[in-house]
Amino acid sequence: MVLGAGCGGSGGISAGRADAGGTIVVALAADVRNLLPAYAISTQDQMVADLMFDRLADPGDSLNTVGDRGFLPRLAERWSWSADSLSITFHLDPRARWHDGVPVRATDVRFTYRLFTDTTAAVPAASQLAAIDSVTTPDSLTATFWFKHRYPEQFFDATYQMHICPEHLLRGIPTSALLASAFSKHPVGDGQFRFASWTPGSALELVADTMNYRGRPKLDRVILSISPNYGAAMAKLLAGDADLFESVHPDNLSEVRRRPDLTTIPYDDPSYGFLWFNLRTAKGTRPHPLFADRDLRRALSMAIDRAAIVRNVFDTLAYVPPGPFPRGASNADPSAPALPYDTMRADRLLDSAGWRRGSDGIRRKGARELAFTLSVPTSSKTRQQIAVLIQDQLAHVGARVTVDPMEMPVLMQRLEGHDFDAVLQNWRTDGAMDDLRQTWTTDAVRHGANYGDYANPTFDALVDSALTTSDPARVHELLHRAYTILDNDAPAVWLYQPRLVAGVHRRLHHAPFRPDAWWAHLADWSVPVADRLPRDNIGLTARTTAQAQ
Amino acid sequence: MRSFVVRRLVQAVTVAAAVTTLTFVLIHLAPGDPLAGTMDDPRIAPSVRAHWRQVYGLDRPLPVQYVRFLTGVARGDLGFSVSYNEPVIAVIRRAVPNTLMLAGTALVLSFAAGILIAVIQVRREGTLTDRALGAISLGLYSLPDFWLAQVALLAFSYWLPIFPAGGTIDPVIHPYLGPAAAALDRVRHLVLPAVTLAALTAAWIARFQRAALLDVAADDYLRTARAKGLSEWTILVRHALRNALLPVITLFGLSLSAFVSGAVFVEKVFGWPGIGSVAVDAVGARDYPVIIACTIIGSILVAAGSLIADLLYMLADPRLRRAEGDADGGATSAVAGA
Amino acid sequence: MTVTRPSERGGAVWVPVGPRDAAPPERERRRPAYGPWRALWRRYRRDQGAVVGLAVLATIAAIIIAAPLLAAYPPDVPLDIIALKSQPPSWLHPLGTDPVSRDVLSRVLYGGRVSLAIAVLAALTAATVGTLYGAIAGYAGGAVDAIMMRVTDACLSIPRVLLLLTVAALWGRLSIGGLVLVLGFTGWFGVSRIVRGEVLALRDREWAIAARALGAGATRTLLRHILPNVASPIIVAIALGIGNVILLEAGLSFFGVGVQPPQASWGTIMQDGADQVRALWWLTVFPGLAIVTTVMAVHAVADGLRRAADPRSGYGARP
Repeated sequence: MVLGAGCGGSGGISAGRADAGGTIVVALAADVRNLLPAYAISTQDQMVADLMFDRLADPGDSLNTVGDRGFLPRLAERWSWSADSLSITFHLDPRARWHDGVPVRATDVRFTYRLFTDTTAAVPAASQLAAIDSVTTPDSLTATFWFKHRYPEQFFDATYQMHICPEHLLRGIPTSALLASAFSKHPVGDGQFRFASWTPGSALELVADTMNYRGRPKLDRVILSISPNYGAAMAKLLAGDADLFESVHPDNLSEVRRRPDLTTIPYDDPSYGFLWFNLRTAKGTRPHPLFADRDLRRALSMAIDRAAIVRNVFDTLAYVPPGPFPRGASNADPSAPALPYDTMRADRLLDSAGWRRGSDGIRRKGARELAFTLSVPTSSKTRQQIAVLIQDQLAHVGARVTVDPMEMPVLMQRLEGHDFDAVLQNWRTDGAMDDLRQTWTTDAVRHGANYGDYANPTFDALVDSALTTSDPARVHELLHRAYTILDNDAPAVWLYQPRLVAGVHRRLHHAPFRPDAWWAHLADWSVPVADRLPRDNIGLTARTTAQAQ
Repeated sequence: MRSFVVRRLVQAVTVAAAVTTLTFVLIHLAPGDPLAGTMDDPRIAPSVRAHWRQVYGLDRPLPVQYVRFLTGVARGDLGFSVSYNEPVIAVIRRAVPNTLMLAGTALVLSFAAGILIAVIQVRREGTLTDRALGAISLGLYSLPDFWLAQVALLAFSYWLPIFPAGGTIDPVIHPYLGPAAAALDRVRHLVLPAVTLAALTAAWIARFQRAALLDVAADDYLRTARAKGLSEWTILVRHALRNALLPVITLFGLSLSAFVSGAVFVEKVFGWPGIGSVAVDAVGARDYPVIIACTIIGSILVAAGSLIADLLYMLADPRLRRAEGDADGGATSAVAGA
Repeated sequence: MTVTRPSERGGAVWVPVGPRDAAPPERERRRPAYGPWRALWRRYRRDQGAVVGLAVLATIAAIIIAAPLLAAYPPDVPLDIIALKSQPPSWLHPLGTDPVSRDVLSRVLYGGRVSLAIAVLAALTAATVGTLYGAIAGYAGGAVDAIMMRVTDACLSIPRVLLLLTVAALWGRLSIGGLVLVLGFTGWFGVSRIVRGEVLALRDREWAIAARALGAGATRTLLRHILPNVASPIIVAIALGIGNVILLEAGLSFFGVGVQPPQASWGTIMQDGADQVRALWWLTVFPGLAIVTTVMAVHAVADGLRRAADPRSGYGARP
C-alpha cells in the first residue's frame, strides 16, 4: 500500500496553498471519447477539455453571450475592441504556460483558429467561427480577431468556441491524423489541471498544475471513474467509491437523500427535449401527408399533457419550456406563448379538419388514418418512457402512434435524411442566441439541424434581426415575436428542460454549479484536512512512486 | 493426426473468411453508420459529418469498402475504430485479456463444480440429494444469463454490498495498491461475474458428467473392483470417474464457444470491459471494423475449441485415432451443433 | 449415441455423435406408423420429473390463455402516471407497477402470451428450415453436402447473440413476425446437423435403397421413409428450441431489440427496469421468475421426451 505516501506538495516545488490536497472521484456513466478539445462533443469530453485547456476568456456565471459583459480573463488578461467593432485584440497573460513549460503565445491562438476552421480537420464548431475573417498576431502576446461583420455574439464566438491548442506540439501532425495522434492520448494543456493518465473504460486522472498562471487548484487530483452504465456509476457513489455523480435519477433520489454522508445539488441542464414533427417527407421533397397541416400539429400539441409527462419522468425536477430554449439561455423568453393542454379543443380542431373517428377510435380522413411512427433512440430510457406516454395520450384524441425505438446511428441517419414522421429529440445548447438559427430557420434545413423542414420566412427574418441587434430590449421583443410565430406554427411540442441533481460527498466543500459546465469552478473545491480519506492523501508524487515499484 | 490438424486449420480459415464476409455485408447493409451516432449535436453541420464519412471511406460503394478492408487485413491492419478513436487492434488487445481472465476462471470453476455435483449425485443415486441436485442443475440450466447476473448484482452488490458493482479493478485505488492488495482487488471484482458465468455452465457439465458416470457404472471392470472389496467412493473416484472423465474433457473445447456467448451478457451487466461488451457496443454504434474483428475472434475461439475437443476425443478413444481419415473430420464437427 | 452441448446461451440441442451404427434400433424404424406415439407416451409417463414438467407447463399455458380473465388491469395502458408510477409490490398490485404506472402482474400475464407464442413459432420455424436443409444436405451427400455444412459451420461460429443483434440491426423495426423469423432463421443450424447426420446414415440402409429401387423419387423417399425416422430427435430439438428462444427473446430485449412498445413480453418488462435494477427490482425479478419456471418445465419435458424416445441412452454415452 502506498496510500498516504505523500501529502500534497510536489517534490520541493511550492504547493502554493497550505490547505491544498484532496482527491475528487467523479463517477461517469460513459467513457470519455477523445481528449482533443477540437473534437469534444459529449459532456464528458467537454469536461476534460475544460479542465485541461483554457479559452481566451470565459463567460462566467452569468453565461452572457452578448457583447463581453461578465466575461472573465483567461489566457487573455485583457482585450480591446476596435472603434468599428470589426476586430477584437486579445492581450495574452505572459505567465500562461503549457504543461510542458513552453509559454502560451499569440501564434498558438492563430494556429488554433486555423485548425478549427480548416475544412480538412472538419471540427464540429467550425460553423460558429464562420463570421471570423482571420486572426493576426501583431506581437507574441497579442492576437487580433478580424470579423466579416458585427453581431452581438461575436465576442462569445471568438472565445467560447475554442480551447487554445499548443502549436508547437500539433504543428507537424496532418489534420486527418489528429484523432489517432499521440497527443490525443496524452494531451498537453494549459488549464489548472494537467493530464496524468487515461485507461479507457476504467479511469482518467488529472492532477493539479501547481505552477498554473491562474493559481494552483485546491484539490490535488480529479479522477474520473468510468462505469459502462448508469447503475454501476450510481453504485460507486452509494458505496463511497466516488465523490460525485452528476445526474442522479429521480428513482434513486430518496436513497441518496437518506444517506448522511451525501448531499444533493440540483442544477439546470442547458438542453431541451421536444416532439419533433417532420413537415416534409420523402427526404424533404414533398409535404408530409399529416404534419404539413398546421392545424393537425396544433391539435396534437394540445392533446399532450406535458406537465403530467414531465412529472412522471422527472418527478419535480424538470420544467416544461415554453419554446426551443432552456431556462437561462440568452435566447430564453419565459413569457413566450405556449399552446395549452386542452383535449376538447384538440378534438374540435380535428373534427373540423375532417378527421372522423372510426369504430376503433382512430380518426380517418378519407382513406388516410391518423397514424404515424414516433422514433426514439434506444439509448435514452427517458425518451422511450415519454414515447409510451405520448402514445397513450394521443390515442385519446384518436391518433395511432407506433413507437419505434432505434439505435442512435440509425436515428441520426434518418434525421439527416429528413426521413421520419416524428421523433423525440433532445438538443443540448451552448446558451447562445445563434442556436435558434442553427436549428429552426429555413437556412438550417440544408446547413444546420432543422431536420423537420420547418420553414417560415417571417420567423427567419425575426431571428436574423435579433441576431444582429445589440439593444437587449429590442432583441427581446424580436425574439418574443419569433416565438409567437413558432408557437402558432407548432413545428414541435416543447416537452421538457431537465433539471439534474448531482449527488456529492459531504466532505467536499463545493463551489457553485454552472449549468453549461458544473465543473467550471472545480479548482475552488476543497477537502478540509480533518475530513480527508486515504485517497485524498495520495499526493502529487504517488503515482510515480507506485509505478517505480 | 497432423494431416487432420492441418485440414481442420484450413477449414477454420475458410470458415473465418466466410464469417468475415457475411458480417461485413450484414452490418454494412444495416441502416446507420458510425459517424451518425457519434456526432448528434445540432451545432455540427452536415458538411462536417460528410467530411468524416469521406475520410473513413464510408461514402464509397460497398465492394470498394470491402476490398479496402481486405487489403488492410492482409497488411495486418484491422482498421480504425470511430467510436474509440484508436486502431481496432488496440481496442481488441485491451479487451481480450479481460475476457480470457473471466472465461478462464469461469471455465475452471464450472468444471470443478460440475464434476463434483455429478459425483455426489451418482454416489447418492436415486436419493433425495440426487434429485435435489438434479433439480438445481435443471434450474440453473434454465436461467436467462443476464437475469442471473442482474439478480446476483442486486443481491450481493446492492442489497448486501459485499462485492463491487462492476469493472475489473477499482480504478481509483488500484494504481496505488501493493501487489497483494492489488491482486485481492482483482479477485473481488472477478467473483460475481465469474461465478455467474460458471453457474450456468456447471449445470450443463454436471448433467453430462452424471450421465457419463452412470454409463460406465454398469461396466464389468467396476464389478471386478467391487468384487475386490474396494469401497464405493474409491470405485467411483478412482475407476469410474477416471473413465467417465474423458468424454467430459472433450466438452472443455466445446464450452469455449458457450463461454464466449455467455460472456456477452455477463460482461454487459457487470461492466466487464471484455470482447463481448465491446462487440455489443460496436453493433450499437455501427463501428464496423470492431464488429468484424470481434466476430473473427469469436469464430477463431469456436474453431479452436472444437479442434481441441476433437483432439482430446481422439486421445481419449483409440478407435477414433485410427479412424482419423473419416471424411467428417472427427468427433465434434458433428457436435458443433446448436 | 448422443451428446448434449450447450447452445449459445445454455440450452442444449441433441446432436448425434460417433459411429453411425449407433442410431436407434432397426426394429422401431421398420414400423414407424404403428403405435410409436403410444409407446413413447407410456415410457414418458414413467418419468416423474417429466410428468411434473408437463403439468407445470400445462398450468402456465392455462394461465396465460386465461390472462384476460385473470389480469385485473389492462396490460398496455398507464393507470395514473403520477400517483401510480413505479410502485413496489402491494395488495392492489402484487408485482408492483412500472415507470409509466402499468400493473406488472397484468403485463406478466399478457407478456407470457407474446413470449411463448414467439418461442413456439420461432422453434417451429427453426425446426422446419433445419430439417429441410439437413435432409437435402444429407440426402445429396458429396460436394453439395460438404458446401452446405461449411455454411452452417460459418453461421455456427458467429456467437448467436452477435448474429442476432447484427441481423436485428439490419431489419430495423421488428414486428413480432419479424422477431419470430429472425430467431427462427438463426436457430436452425443445430437441427440441420442432426437431421443431416441421421439422413446420411439412413439413406443407404437396405429399406431406403429398396424404396428407391421400387421407383420412389428422392422427395418421396425423404418424406415417406426417412424423415419419419428422425421425428423424435426433431421433436426434442423443438422442445429445447422453445426454451432457448424464450431465453433469447429476453436476452434480445435486454439489448433493446424486442417487441414494440407498449406491448409486453417477459423480456421487455425486464428491459423497462434494466437500468434501475436497484430501485425497481420488481421489474427484473418477477418476469425473470416466470421465465425460469417456464424454461425449467420445458427442459424437463424435453428430457423426458428424449429418454422416452431413446430409452437406451441417458444423457451422453461414451462412443
